[in-house]
Amino acid sequence: MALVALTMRVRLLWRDNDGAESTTIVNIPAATGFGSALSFLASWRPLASAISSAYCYGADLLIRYAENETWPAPAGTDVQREAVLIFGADPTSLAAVHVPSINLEYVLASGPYAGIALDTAAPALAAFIAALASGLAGVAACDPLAADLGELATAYMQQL
Amino acid sequence: MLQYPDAPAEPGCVVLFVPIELVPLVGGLFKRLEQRRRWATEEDWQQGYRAFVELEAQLMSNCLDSLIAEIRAFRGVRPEYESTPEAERTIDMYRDLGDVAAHLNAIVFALRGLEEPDDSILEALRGIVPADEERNIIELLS
Repeated sequence: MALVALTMRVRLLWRDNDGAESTTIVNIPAATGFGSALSFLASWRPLASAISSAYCYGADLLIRYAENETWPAPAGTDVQREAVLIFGADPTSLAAVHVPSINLEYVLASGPYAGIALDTAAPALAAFIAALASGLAGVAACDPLAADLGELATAYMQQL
Repeated sequence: MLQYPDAPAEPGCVVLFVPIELVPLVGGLFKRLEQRRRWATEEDWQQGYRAFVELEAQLMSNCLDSLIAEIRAFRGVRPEYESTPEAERTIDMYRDLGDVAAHLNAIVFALRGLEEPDDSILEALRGIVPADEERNIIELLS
């Protein structure tokens, strides 16, 4: 099993006057350099906007990888059962990180939040939390509003 | 799509009692409002994201238990119940808040060098001391 590169996706995000949204996607080769991919995006967006009357309110560049083999997910997995880890973000706000199908071995079995709270002292979970709070490979994680993630505030299980 | 509402001139809030077994489901509902597509504008989403992640966190704060624990710590347990385990104590095993206030009053006035309390520190704090007796609280404590 290994991750292999797939084509990159350049996606434009559109909205009409009713608030309905749609997208345009084109693929570019996986080996395209990051700078070239961004140049493609910047050049392609006005060309697409010229032929659409909708409002192009955003664009994505997706760098994609996938496992080269597939296998069935183990019994008991459920992506609707998520871990939510809530971090303090700069300066005083909170930010949430969700992990689908949290392994039930990390859910606390006792205490006031038995069956709900996560065991943040468990080594695997502690390593995950530390990576987000302190950074990984020289990169600091941030929330969707670009605020750095700080210390963990709380962690528990959500059911969607 | 949602617009983040304007806050009223006088901010307020409501206390909602969520049965603990519903925390995962309620948290899951709040999570949906983290998504940009739910909100009309970028500004609405930014405010909404912050507000609903805060609510997700509050589901784990067990705030009522903490509040009760703090009030009980302030009141102090009656001497005859000190050996009762904390989890087994009931409300009547703690000192009355009126007794605590009376002691506080006596201590404040003793510190001022007076033998008899002539004012209620709590009344001063509540602002209900009659106008001709009203004093700055700093003066009262000095």
